[in-house]
Order: sequence, then C-alpha cells, then structure tokens
Amino acid sequence: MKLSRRQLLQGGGAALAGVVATQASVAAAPSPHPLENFPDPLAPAARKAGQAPVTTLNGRSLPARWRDGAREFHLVAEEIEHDFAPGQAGITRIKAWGYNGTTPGPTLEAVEGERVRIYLTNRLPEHTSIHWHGLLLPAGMDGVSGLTQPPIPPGETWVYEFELRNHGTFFYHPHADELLQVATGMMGLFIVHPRGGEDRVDRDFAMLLHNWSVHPGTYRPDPSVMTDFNLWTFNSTVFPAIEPMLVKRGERVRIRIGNLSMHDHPMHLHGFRFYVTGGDGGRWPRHTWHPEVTALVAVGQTRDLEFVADVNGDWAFHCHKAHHTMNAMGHDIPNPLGVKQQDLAERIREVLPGYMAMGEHGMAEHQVHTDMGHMEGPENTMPMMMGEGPFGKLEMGGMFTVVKVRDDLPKDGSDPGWYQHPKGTQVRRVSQDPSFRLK
Amino acid sequence: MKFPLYAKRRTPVAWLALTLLGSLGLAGCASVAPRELAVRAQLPAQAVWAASAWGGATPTAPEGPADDTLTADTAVRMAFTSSPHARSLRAAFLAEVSAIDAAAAPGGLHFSWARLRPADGLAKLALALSVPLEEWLTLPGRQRQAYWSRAAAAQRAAFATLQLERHVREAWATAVAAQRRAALLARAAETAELSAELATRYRDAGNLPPHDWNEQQQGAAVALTAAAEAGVAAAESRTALANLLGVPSTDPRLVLPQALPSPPAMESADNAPDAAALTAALSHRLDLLAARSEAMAQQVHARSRSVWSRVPAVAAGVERERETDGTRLTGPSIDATWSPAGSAEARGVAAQAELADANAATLAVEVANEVRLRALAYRRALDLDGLLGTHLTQLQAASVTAAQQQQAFMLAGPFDLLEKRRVMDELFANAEQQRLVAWLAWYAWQQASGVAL
Repeated sequence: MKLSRRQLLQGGGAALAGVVATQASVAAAPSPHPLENFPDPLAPAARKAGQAPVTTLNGRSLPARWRDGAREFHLVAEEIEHDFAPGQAGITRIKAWGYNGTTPGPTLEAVEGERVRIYLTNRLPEHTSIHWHGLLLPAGMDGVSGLTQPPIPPGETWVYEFELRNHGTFFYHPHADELLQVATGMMGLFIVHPRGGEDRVDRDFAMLLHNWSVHPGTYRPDPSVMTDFNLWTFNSTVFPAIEPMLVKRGERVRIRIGNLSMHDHPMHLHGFRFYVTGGDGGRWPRHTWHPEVTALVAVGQTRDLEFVADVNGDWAFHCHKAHHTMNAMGHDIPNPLGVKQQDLAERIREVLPGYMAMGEHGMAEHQVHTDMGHMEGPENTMPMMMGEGPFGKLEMGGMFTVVKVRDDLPKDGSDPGWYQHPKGTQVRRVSQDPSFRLK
Repeated sequence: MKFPLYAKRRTPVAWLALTLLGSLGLAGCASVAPRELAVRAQLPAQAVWAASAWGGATPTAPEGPADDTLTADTAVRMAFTSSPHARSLRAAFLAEVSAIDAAAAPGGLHFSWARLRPADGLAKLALALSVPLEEWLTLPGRQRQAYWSRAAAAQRAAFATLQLERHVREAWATAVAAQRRAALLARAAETAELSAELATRYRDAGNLPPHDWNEQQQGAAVALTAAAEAGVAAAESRTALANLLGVPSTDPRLVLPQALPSPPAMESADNAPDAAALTAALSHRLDLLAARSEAMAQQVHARSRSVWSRVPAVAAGVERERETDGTRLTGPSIDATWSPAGSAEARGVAAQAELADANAATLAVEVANEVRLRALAYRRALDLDGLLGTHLTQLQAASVTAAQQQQAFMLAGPFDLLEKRRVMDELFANAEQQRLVAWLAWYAWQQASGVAL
C-alpha cells in the first residue's frame, strides 16, 4: 500500500509525538535498568512502519537499540511496588511481580520482518521464562519452561532471538509457575506493526485486561483464587486512575485489548460503532469486519477495535460485566436492599459503636459515605465505588475509563477536562413530582 | 471480741492453789503463756495475726483500698469479725485447749467419808484423805506434753483461720469472675438477639433464606441459654461468698468489682522453687508446724509413760475412824495399784508418738512437693491468663474492628460483624474464667509456701 503525502506527514508528526511521549514517560519513571536509557539509533518501530505510536494507558513502550541486525530489548523480571490507583484517595498498594519496575511491563514495539533480541534478567526469587503469546517463532523461543527451554534461574540473564513473521497485537507473559507469576502481575504487550500497506490510525491505544485478588488488608495478590477476584484493571490500574483516551474529533482510533485475566470481558464503547479489525492472529480481512458497540474479549485473546471519533463528548469505555466496574466488594453478603433497620441500628450501636446500616435504598450511598470519610475501611483497600464527574459521583471502579473527543486538544497532551455540552444537547429535569404523568 | 487463751481456764481459785502447791519443785508449769507467745513468734505475720485473734490481741486485718466495691481484703475482715465460721473455729479451738488443760491439771485429793450404823450399835464413822502421788509426780511431764499440745492446737487453729481466709478470697474471686462472666454473656446474648432480629428484618424484606434465618434464631437461643446459666452461676457464687461472710446475699456491702485484677507477676526463679523457698515453706507451713508439735507432745507423753508404767499407782493419805465404841483411830494410808497392762500401754503410746512423727515427716515431703506443683500450676495458669488476657482478646478485638471495616466497605455483611462481637464477649468471659483459675492457683501456691495471702 502506498502512503499519500498527507498520510506520511500525519504519520511522521504522530511518530515524533510518540517519541517525545515515550521519552517523557521514561524520564518520569526513574528506572534502574540502564538499557532502557540507551539511544534508539533507529526510528521507533511505529515510525518506521508509518504508524501512529502506541499509547499504553498508564504505561510506556520500551526503548530499544539496533545491534548486530536485531532490535534489542532488555526486560528485567523482579518484585515491585505497585499502586492500583495512584493519586486517588483510596490506596491499594501491593507487592507485585513485573518487568522493569512496572506491571504490566513496558510495551514492546517492533516491525514485522525485523529480528528481535530480547534479554531477560531474572531478579525474581524463583525461575521464570517468557512466552511470546501469538507470535510465530521457532519452538525453542516459545518460552514454555520445561517444554521448549529450561527454566531461567534467579540471577541469570537469558536471551530470546527470533524474526517477527506476523504482525498484530500480542502479549508476553511467563510460562513458568504461570499461575502465580501472571496472577502477581507479570505481563506486557507486544505490538508488531505491519511491514507496510495497511490502513493507519491516528490514535493507537493499548491495554491489558487483568484481574486480581488482593484480600482486604493484605499486600500481595492471592494466586490461588480462581474466579472471585476483587480488582479489575486496565493495565493494572483501576478507575478513576486509568488515563482517559484523548482524541481529536474525526480521528481514526484503534484500541488494542489483550485479556490476561481469568474472565471474558464484553468491552463496551459508548457513542460510536466500532469494527473489530484484528486479534492475536493479526489483522482480519476487511470483509469480516462488522459494526459493534460491544466486543467480547475472551481469556487469552487480543482484539483490535477501530472507529472514527466523529462526535465530541466524554464517552465511557468499560467492561459490561457490572461487577468488573467495581473495586473490592463482598460477593457473598446478604442483600440489604429494602431492609428496614434504621431503628434496629440504634440498638446495635449500643453493642457495636459506629455501626452503620446501609443499602436499604440502594448501594449508591456507599460512595457518599466513603468520600466523606464517614467510614473507615480495611487497610490497603479501595472503596467499591470511586470517581467524581462534572455532575456527581460516577459510582464506578475497576475496568472503566473515558474516551474524550474534542475539536482541539491541549498541545501538551494534558487532559482537556470535562466535556461542555452545547445547549439543548443534554438531558433535563421536567418534574419533581413522583406521580408525574404525561398529559 | 476477745478470747483470752488460757486465763479463764485457770481462773478457779482451787485450781490456782493446787497448781502452786503441786508446782513446788516442778519448774516450768507456770510459764506456758510466754512459751505460747514464743510459738506464735515463729508463725508468719498473717498467721500471727490469725493466732492472736484467739489470744486477746487486737486483730489487724489487712486493709484494702478505699473503694465502694467489696475488696477481697475487706471480705476477709468481714469473715474474721462476723462470720459464724470464725466463731465455730474459735469454739473448736477453745474446746480443744480446755481438754488439753484438763489433761494437764495437777493431781487432786481423794476424800472419803462413811458413817456405818449397825442395826444394834453405835454408828461407825470413817474419814479418809489421800493424794494420788503419781499424778503429782508426772505433772512436769504432762505440763510439757500440754505445752506442745497447745502449740499444735494453736497452729492448727491458725492454719484453719488461714484456710478460712483462703476460702473467703477464693469465694470472692469466684463471685467476681462469675458476675463478670454473666455480664459478658448477657451482652453476647443481647448481640445474638439483635442479630436474630436483624435476620427477621432481612427475611421480611425477602432477602434471607429460611435456613439462614433459622440459624440466626438458633444462635440467639443458644446465647440466651448460656447467659441464663451464667446468671445462675453468678448468683450461686455470690451466695457462697455471703455464706462465708455470714451475711445475707442481699447485704448492701456485697458490691463486687466489675472484674478480677491481673494476677501477681511471677519471677522466673519461681518456676523451680529453690532450697531457700522450700526451707521457708517447711518452716512456715502451720499445718506442718502443728504436726511437728503434735509429734513432740506424743514423744513427751511416750517418755513419761515409759517411766511410770512400771511403777504402781500409789496414793498416800490419812484415815481417821471412830469405832462404834467411841474409839478414835488416826493414821497414814497408802493405796497402791499395779496393772500388768501398763507396759503394753507404754508401747502403744510410743507407737503413737512414732506415728505422729512419721505423719509430720510425710507432711514435710508433701509440702515440698506441693510447693513445686503449685508454682508450676500457677506459672501455667498465669501464662494462659496472659495469652487470653492480652493476646487473644486483642486479636479478637482487632477482628471486630476488621469486621466493622469490612462491613463499612460492603465486603462483609452485618451478621458476620455481630457474630464477631458476640464471640468477642464470649472470649472475654472465658478469659475471666481463666483469670479466676490463675487467682485460685495463686492462692494455692501462696498457702502451700506458707506465705500470707
């Protein structure tokens, strides 16, 4: 496919912005890994492929260097401190395992046809390996501990090297003690840009879906939990700490989603129809695309959603399983809805000072109480509902963020704030009479 | 109320006169009281106080803190001053001492008078006055035996008094613990009832399955039963204390503190009592002192019998007669009685002395072992009290806080929270029971060691 001059200019500008953004993010996150700071002698992979740079929400792409005919990366597997909601009042900080200081690890970007050489230093207390999920490669590079390679012992550095034969949205994760190592946060995206001849996008967002079981009052994810997780994350972050996706009106947007959780997630976008254009098998033929507003991303899958953001606004993007847009909450508690107990609560407070009866009229009051500090929750535990919008509390958490579409975006890439609705385009009150009837 | 030990028993003038008469040349019999005081001086302070309660000295009961509630010390004081138990102890002691005094009395005089009137003549008059020499000759030995017997009686009485004190303290501690336990279980029952009521509200709203509702109701019933039983136990304990104090259970002074204080700390060296501690126990245990005194008394008695059993009982006197013809006859008389059983009796008395000595030796071994056992028992009880009192209860309190936080964040329901609250009260009730065990072990250890409570 030939690129037009306009597309080339747009791609170059976006790529430049991507370089700046990547360098800024690296500078903002002090890294103990010197290889992350080496200069990339070649253009970043996205620019080389004529694509927009990938924006990993709350994350970054890993700088690489070109040496001996291969794009070289250096990943360090290690224990880290991780906060699911940095900057928010409620804190859940854990000891996670990740790569290069974060979970998920940095996004690897390369171009189809390139040779990649990926060093892995194991600073974990146990052996590990990396499986390159979805990539076509020699069996000896597939990273299945015990099957295709010996496990990489603690303290050692091993190198994976192979040619990228397919493009698409992939991810990497350990295939040694996989249950525990994935449950504690070891994962990362691997984006292989096509060698050429593909529709380009203006905004290319990427996220990994994950679930965690961090029992209230604890500081480590519990890998033994099968289904009853209590934290649901985009790139290991919960709403409202998940970065919004900032888009200029009319831009073509791609959202790359990988699912390393133990549940399928119906990902729903408000305001637009999107097309599912690809998965971990690469880009799908155009005739297979069809419009959707919700796409199911199954366990172990990736999906690329593409749409043109042609309407301004703040548009929600979230998993449509309602419990996945909550933070820690009890899933086996008696239902308080409709239970009249205010008078009883007075008596209960005589034996249990501070007892608060909740839920008679619904669960929304929970965020009111927690935001106002009426109730102290367990240590290291975020409230079930968080987030404040222009019109009140969002009563959300977990897998929820916002696509902000504007005519103009701040040049510095900062958040433009909440959308200002043009007059006559917003819902309005017509009565405060509960017995209102249309005449 | 004063109970002079011996003065009243020696009050009769005739007794005094005969004692002085018989004591000519028999040293020591008049110095009983000073020796008794010397015996008392060997007792620990508390026992001296207890013993002095019989001897006319002013009792000095331990003073408790000025408080509206009835302290253990105050209870002991009440028991010593007004309890029928104390009176019965005094009476028993006086009876025993009286018997000892009677046995140790000097020999008496034998006097006889007869007027014989035949059918056909003048009456014949006979008058005889004799002194049983043996009784006078054995008087020093019997006095020494009485000295040790009285010492043994005083030590037994003092020991019984200290046991009364221990019983009062134990009853006090039991009543306090039972009252505390009843209060805690009552609150646990109240919590369970609230939980059951809340379950009804959930059921009425259509949110609780019958099985869960039933569980809540059953839980409340069980808690109510436990609370009722604890209430009865508290009343029984209170009544037992009142009985010991000799007051009605409704006595307004019976206002018990809310909880038992922490039991006294234990030095690490107390785990294995050293020779000094054992020696102290062997020299202070009043029951052991009493056994030894009794053995001494038996030995004195045995020595006396071994000598006098070979000698006939002789009574010397004067007889005066008036015959029917008016003739008057006057002259000395001697009456001797010898029994072949005397030797066997002496051997029996010697065997009794040996038995008493063996009993004292046995008791000494038991005292030493008991001190070790009670020290160990108290150490274990103290450890468990600390575990329950500080560790588990803190953990449980933390679990209630955690449950409250979980409920606040809708991570757990109210039933879980209320259950933890109830369990916490039940655990505190158990901890109070264990604290009582520790206090009882403390009393046992202290008394085993011959130390004042």
